[in-house]
Amino acid sequence: MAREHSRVGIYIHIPFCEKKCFYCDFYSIENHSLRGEFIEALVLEIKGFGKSHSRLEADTLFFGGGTPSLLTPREMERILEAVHHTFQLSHDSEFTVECNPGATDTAYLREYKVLGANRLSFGVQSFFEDELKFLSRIHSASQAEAAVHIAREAGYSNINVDLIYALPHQTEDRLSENLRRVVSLAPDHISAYNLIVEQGTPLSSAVANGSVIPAQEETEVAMYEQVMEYLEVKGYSHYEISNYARPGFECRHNLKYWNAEEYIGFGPSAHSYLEGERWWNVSSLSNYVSDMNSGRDSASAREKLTPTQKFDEYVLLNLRQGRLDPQALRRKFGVNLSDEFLSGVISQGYFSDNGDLLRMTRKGFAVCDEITETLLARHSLPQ
Amino acid sequence: MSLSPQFIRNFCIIAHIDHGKSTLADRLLERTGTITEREMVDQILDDMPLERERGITIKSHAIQMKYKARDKNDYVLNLIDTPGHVDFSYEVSRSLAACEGAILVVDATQGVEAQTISNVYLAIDAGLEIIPVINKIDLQSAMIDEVKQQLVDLIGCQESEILLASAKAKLGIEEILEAVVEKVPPPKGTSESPLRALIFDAKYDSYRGVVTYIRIVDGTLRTNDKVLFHKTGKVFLAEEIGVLEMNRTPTGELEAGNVGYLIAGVKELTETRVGDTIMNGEIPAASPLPGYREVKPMVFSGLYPAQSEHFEELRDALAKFKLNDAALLYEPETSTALGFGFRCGFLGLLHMEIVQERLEREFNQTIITTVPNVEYKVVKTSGEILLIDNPAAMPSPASIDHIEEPYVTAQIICPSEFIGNVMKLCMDRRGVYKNTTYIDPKRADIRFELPLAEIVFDFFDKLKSLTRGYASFDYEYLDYRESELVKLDILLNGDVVDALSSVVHREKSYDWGRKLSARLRKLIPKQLFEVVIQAAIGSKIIARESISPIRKNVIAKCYGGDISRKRKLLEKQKEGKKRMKQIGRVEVPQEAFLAVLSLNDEE
Repeated sequence: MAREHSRVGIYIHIPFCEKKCFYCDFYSIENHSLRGEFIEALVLEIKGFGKSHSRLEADTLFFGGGTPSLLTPREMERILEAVHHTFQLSHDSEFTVECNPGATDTAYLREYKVLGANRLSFGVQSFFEDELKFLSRIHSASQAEAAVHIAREAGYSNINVDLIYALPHQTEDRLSENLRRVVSLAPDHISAYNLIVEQGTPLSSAVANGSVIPAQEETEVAMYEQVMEYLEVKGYSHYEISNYARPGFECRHNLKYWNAEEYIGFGPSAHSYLEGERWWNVSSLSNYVSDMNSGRDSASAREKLTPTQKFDEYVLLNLRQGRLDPQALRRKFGVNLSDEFLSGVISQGYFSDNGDLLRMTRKGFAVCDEITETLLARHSLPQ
Repeated sequence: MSLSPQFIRNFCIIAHIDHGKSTLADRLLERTGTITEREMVDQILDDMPLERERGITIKSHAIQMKYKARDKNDYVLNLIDTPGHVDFSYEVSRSLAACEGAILVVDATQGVEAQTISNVYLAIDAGLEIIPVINKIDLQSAMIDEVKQQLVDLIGCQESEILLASAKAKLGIEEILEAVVEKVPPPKGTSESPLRALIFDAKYDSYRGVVTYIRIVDGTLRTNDKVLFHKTGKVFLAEEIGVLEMNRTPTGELEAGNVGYLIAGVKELTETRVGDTIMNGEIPAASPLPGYREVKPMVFSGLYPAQSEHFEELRDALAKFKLNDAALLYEPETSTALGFGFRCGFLGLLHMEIVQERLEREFNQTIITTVPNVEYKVVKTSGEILLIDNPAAMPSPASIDHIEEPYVTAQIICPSEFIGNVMKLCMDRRGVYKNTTYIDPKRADIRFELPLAEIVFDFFDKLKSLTRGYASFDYEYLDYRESELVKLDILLNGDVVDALSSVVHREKSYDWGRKLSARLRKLIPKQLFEVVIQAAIGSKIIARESISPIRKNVIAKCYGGDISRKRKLLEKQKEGKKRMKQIGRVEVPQEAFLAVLSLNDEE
């Protein structure tokens, strides 16, 4: 029954933060009392997966959160032991740890390196103290810069820095300065996100009661343009809506998500995709711990993708990477894009026509969801 | 069980909307024990959900009651319900043909209204005995004496004949039942003559096929009789015959004068026609009953499935619908913008709305309705005369000598302080003033001649708001008159959208074109491409609006491995887009096709 798997990705969710950020809607808590139980539950989950599945080969490992850099090297070692027990981790694996520049013991970074980590991702977000304060980040700009330097000294050759733009009242000058300082850190990868007002966050309540007024759409469009243009000029290729990398430094783990490849997530709220099925764990640490301790499955939902859902995801994910390949759609799904649609999006300047593969322009990226919705509303899988 | 016609009374209730007809019907059912108070759902006769919501009776229904009168005899009372709204006068006359009497209900606080008058004339024309009832006499604002005088003037009765009641407070109910027994003549006709039964309604039952509601005029109908449907010439076997109590109650036979139902294994919707005569298949009667006057649709509009692959389903739904709404006319048509659909003729705008809503609710159809219009008479230079019920079909201006449009006589009753408002509204709508009379010192009856096209959209709503809800309104077809009419086209990115064409008066056309374009600009969302909206008369562009392309629609995050979340957001958006009609590259939401209806609200 064993089937050939290409190499999978492994995601580990660390659901603790020193302080929850104002805008963040990933699952994380400030109460760390269940930390010991959590590590043991995680070990149980990872080893349990090994019992019910054949030993899979993995080539990316990603510690996300939350704040994974809160993990002591001993805790991380304990988790890795379970990972190696269950998976065959390739020698050339990409091994990422997300770090909060304000909650990173620099000594830890060296030890993570010894444990195999080779990529760090810093949630820098901004270089202005008032913006960091608005985002309720606990670090300062200088702390962030120091963290990146220390990481370099520790020998990390693959570093990502996260930036958030289009904050309320942010000017284009401020954004220029943030971009300039990010680039001066010479990271290998930059994720630059337009601030999203997510439901259920304190930010969304603040917007609802009028105490925060989000940026105007026109400003967001202009800033997105500015980010794309600046980073491309500086040699970062724009390979996903909000992601830029020096050639060869695209995040292999995230590419698994975006290329509909397989990955297994562990920890509360972690998502997995294997053999055409998606599932995700409960977003509650206490439930997660008790599920693991009593041998229960912690998946809060599962879905087996229908052909239409696979098609929708394929189109969605490819367009987010700026790709439209009409021949691949025909080959994989039997869907022929209409001339009206194709000639429309090209003549409107959303794509540049490089032969078979269409490349999304900056103008196209700004309306990527609209293009996706329009394409899918007008093309269905053949019956 | 043989029932002598002497003990049968067939009657209906006629009233202006909201004068309490349905509540009175409930009381009669309750008082005769047809239904107990406990079982009573308010307004039991209105069993369509839509009727309850709108508080109006759309379809005729019938129900049989048993009543022991003060003369100690047992009577069978058949109550045939009628709709009150002006759009449905056709259905009213259908119900009247099955009755010998009518209870005329007038609200003591409102007095005689426009529909009271039109319904009374229909009942008098049908030769019915009228029992005048003033309802809601327990309310403080009741004006019993004034309303009595109005009724005396209207139907020429004696004041003493007018019954006073309150259906809500259960006052005067028995007196009404007694009056029905005493004053409504028993049905004529004998059970021995050859069978003639009038079909006054029909509905489709998914288990039993077509159920016809009938009034036996002559003869007797028994189970296993062969029955002949006169108009179609088809013969069926009478499977089940009975009376209409709270449910269908089989009786095995129905005799002259009685009202009931017939199930005869009729599966094809087209084989039953309301108004047709049922005869005995072996000994047919010499001639059919008079039947009904032909329905004349006044308002036309296109009905299209929102998704073109549902055309056949819509055809099927319309066929079933037509079975118990003979007033609906439809025929297939094609629109370049909307694909395959139907051009439908309705009695009026309310009728159109109701058909659309019922198709959506009861038949699960998602429909796009085009702007309603009237039927134009186009006289070409060649002398040829065309009847045009779809603006898109209007011939080119060069070939037209002149166009005629239908006019109606409108009757508006309102308190005299609103006369000025009503006059202004009617003049704005190209009305020709006729005269004003007074029903009583405070209320005027104003007559205008108006183009039907001017009242089909929003006239009634406007009238109501200009008279603080006090005006009542009725109209009657008058004649066709020549008018300065032009066809106004709407172009999206340069292409004429046939489903948005309309016919308007030349003087109003510029204003209309400008407002319609502005309205469409608001209704059509921004999309990937610029949308240019133009209004044109012939080749002349009279208004232009544009919708610039969308600048931003992208969510920055993909939420880590949670692809499902992003996909679900997308699926929702995709479904929204699918509900729009794609015209060329432009996605047009369904509301846009009815944009004209809300035009007068634009500044």
